Amino acid sequence: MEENRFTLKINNQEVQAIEGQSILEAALENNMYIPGICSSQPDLGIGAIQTCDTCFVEVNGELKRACSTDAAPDMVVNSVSEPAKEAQLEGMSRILKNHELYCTVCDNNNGNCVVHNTAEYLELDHQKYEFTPKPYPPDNSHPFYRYEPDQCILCGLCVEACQDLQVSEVLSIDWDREQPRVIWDDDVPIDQSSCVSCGHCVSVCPCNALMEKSMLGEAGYMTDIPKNILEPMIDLTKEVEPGYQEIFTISNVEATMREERINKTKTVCTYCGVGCSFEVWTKGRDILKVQPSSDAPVNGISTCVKGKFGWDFVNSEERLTKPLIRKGDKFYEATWDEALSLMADKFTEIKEKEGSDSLGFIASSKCTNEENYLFQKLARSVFQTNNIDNCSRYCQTPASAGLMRTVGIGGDSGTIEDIATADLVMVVGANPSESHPVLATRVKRAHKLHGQKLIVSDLRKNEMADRSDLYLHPKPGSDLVWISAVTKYIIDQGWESKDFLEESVNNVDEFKQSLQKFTLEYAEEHAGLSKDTLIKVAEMIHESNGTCILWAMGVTQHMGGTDTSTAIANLLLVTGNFGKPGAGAYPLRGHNNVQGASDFGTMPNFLPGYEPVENDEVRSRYEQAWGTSIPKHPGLNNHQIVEAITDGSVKGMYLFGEEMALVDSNINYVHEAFEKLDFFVVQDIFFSKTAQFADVVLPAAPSLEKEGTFTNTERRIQRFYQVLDPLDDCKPDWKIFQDMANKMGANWKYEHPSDIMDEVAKLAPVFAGVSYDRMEGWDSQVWPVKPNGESTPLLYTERFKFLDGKARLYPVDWTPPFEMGDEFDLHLNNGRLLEQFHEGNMTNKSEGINHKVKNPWLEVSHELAKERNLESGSLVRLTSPYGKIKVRVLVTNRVTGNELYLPMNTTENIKAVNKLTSSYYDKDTHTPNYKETQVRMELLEKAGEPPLPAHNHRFGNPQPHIGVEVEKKWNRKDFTSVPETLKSEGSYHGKSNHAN
Amino acid sequence: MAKAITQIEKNQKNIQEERAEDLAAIVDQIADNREVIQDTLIILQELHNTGVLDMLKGLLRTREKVGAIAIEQLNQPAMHNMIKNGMNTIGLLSEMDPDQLQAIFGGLNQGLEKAAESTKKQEEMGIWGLMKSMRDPNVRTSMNTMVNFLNGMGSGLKSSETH
Repeated sequence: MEENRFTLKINNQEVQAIEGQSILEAALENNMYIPGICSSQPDLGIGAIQTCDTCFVEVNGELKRACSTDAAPDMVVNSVSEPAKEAQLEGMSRILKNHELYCTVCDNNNGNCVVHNTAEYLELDHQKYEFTPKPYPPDNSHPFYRYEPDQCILCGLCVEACQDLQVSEVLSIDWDREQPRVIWDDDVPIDQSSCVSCGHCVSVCPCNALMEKSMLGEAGYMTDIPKNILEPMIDLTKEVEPGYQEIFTISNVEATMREERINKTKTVCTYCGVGCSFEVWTKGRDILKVQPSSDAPVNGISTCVKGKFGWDFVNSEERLTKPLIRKGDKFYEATWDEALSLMADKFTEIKEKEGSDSLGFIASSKCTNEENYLFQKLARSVFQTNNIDNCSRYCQTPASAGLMRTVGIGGDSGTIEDIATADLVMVVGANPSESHPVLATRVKRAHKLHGQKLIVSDLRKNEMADRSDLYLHPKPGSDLVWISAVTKYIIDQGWESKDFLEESVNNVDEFKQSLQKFTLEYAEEHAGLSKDTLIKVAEMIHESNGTCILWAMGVTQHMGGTDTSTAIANLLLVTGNFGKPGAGAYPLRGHNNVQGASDFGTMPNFLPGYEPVENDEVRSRYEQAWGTSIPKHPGLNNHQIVEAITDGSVKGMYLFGEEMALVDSNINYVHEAFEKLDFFVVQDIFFSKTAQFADVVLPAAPSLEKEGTFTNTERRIQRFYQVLDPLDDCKPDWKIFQDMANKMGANWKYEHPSDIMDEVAKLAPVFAGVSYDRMEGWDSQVWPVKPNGESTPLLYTERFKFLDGKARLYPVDWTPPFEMGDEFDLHLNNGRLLEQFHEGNMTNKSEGINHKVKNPWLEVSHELAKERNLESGSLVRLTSPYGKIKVRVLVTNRVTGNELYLPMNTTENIKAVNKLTSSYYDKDTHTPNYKETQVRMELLEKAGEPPLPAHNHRFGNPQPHIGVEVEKKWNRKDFTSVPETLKSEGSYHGKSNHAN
Repeated sequence: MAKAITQIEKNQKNIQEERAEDLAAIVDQIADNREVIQDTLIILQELHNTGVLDMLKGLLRTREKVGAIAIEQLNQPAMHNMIKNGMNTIGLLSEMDPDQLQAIFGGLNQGLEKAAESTKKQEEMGIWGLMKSMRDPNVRTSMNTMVNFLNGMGSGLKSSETH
């Protein structure tokens, strides 16, 4: 894109600017500081808010806001002239009418307080307008943050963040009341509002009005002073106030002293596949807050409730801290040496007696790339088996397989930026606003502000569906049918991307033939969507310049999961939606390192970088580097390992960081298998359900207590640093694997995770240029990474990952979903929820999160509730052929008819959805068909406490606005523009600045 | 055959061991810093003997009450003036050019000496004597300085009026 560059003069200095930039942006880009409190979060990207009035500059002799005045060629700007400074000072003085400066005893005095720093820059010396408290008490109702109206400067950054970035549309400023303030929903206490606790508002607040409760009284040396001393102290300071400069000197000293005891460490979030990064502020082992930064490549300043507030588990009393060994019906604490010696003896014994393939290894998509690499190395080289897999088998392996069939790489085609800039986003069987919250914000925002179109196909009318331009509710398990019908219709209309197919795609004719049966009529019958709807979908794709399709478990966890993923890739190929910005296939990875675990080789058939273990050239490369042989035949996957335990061929298992006893499907069957194992090692941070079956339990260190890298859904590799020391005897998983290997005589010598990454970079071509040095701080790399370190954020711009560089259309047929029999008359859908991570082992240690959501709930439609005489709070028993559970009902219009929804946030068997799911699976990848479950329901208790508390955000009442609506401020009777005020005071005689 | 179990037998002995380890670590640190610690102990001994420690103890234990009283005392108009005056004086001192001040102080010092001498001698001077002394270059320099000082002070006073 050609950018129109020109020069202008700011403070007598020539400055380069790009057309469309404001004066403020141009100045900041050239490292020239112009104050601007409400522009302090450039990453918000919503343009100028224009609420703070501290950025006035003289433009050709006229006072104008630097934030909202476009830079123009040959413009002459002065930000330090007498009138400009007077105007900035006037703006600042108005702010301080709303904000009491008691910096030294303020928890936000950490050197980065924008209000403090701006006042200091302006050499503000006295209070022009007296500070007056507002008639509102502080709102402390929310478990994680508070709002103090008396400190609120009404800049509206929080409102912008909530309305236009997070797009939860909860906050607004009520400009109509005598004393404006920020309100939640239609002015209810924060805790009772639709606030999703994402923390955006707190993260962007330029002062202490919105603060994390964990900071209060903790950050400063003197901020914990009791109120009866603090208040007179503030009065005293104000009374003797010699001028603010002296106060700033003291507060700067105090802020500097804080650096000594507050550590700020960059980490990468572990609560989903989006890969948010942020700094964790700690004082000793206490987490003061999580502070995102506009430098973070994926999320910028965005977070969700878990990433912002969900880290209490690291200091939980329930953490495993010592190795445990089972003796009889009890576990006993042991030393590392005892535990590892026992493991070495037992595994060696089984291996020698029963053969290498009698061992199974389950890796963790929650742990690092380096740890996954070492674990597969341990399995393959030390124990000589390829029986290794990770939990992507439960979720996204079908998506990867579908993409490998068609375009060659099992990963997202582009980055979150492509999703944000696409013309059309189609979400199929995914609920990103709960499962990938920060990624969802980019779609919601593009849809709200930038005209992006949104199609959502889901059984539930979730938040994204609510916002969509077109919501599809197909019959369960019929996605392949309607997607193929839309593809066929597009071809029938001649709307396919002919040049693209001609040049870059193989197998076109055969594929077209295969679509024959997928007529609109066929789709109408089997998917339950009207012809008009399907035509509308086809038209929207046809009319868009770029389409991104996002999908997740709603597609993959079926018997035909791989085929449906393939059908999605086929549709995108036919419409030319690969290899260009703002388009492509986006299987949303559920866990922080689902992508990386598979990338780094914890798969039964692949060495790192998806190179087949059967390939002699590939295998010998690793054999040479490792100095051992590697078995040639692919091993067993998760599902097959459980089967093999049942039939007695696998006797020993080593599992880390995976709550398989709750999250695998048909857990009764899985539990029986675990009971059969001769020797079972579980490595985790908590004593999980799975650990209860173990013979040895090892205490691992969570991400905050180690270093490493994760790969997010974009294929982006990001480093994280150690925030805290490992608790007690806990150890990072990679150290445990190394100790284990060395117990077996392997003689590994990794001193740091970077040593492991260096080894991978040498061996796996797709990671050739990956190195820790290139991922310092906020930097990241997106694979494939060339030897020179160059990333590939957008795939297929030159070629597809096949020998001839061409993609392949891959014919697929529909596999009707599994039916459990007429007796099971209700369809049970299941999945995650926003507040708790997965089953909840980590997030359920947070009191605040439990306050918002503690238990799972069964979503029941109004129709069904009426028919079965149920109400919110009723206790029901659900029975499938595989088990039963007892849960409480929530009647909602998110589900319809005989479809139920049960989130998976429980560690109790009696409420666990996977008591009900079956052991059937995707025919191509063995991913369980979690989403093909039917149950029957019995009412046990008609009345009871509703499972979701009334103060949950789902019951809130959002108030959509476009941003802060500054015009309302300007239209207030008591508002006079800054230039007008200066004019009336006689200190400014220039032309006035428009009407505002 | 391993059924799910949940009972964990914690190593009770470990608590005592941990204590011992902690103590050993502290003893090591003490041994490494023997001199510093001995000096510190002597200082503490003296503070104890003079009763300072006792006072501090009382102060710390009642810090909230004492703090409230202290801040209340501080928060009085007289105190406000004192603090403001103190700060103003500090401000004045910080703005003065040390070289100039040194010159003035040098002059002042010699002037004082002369003055003291003259007081000692109980000298008396008539009008004529005064007039005559105006011709003395030393006196003239002094007078000149004074006049200029008055001039500067006047303009300072005026500018603070207009503000």
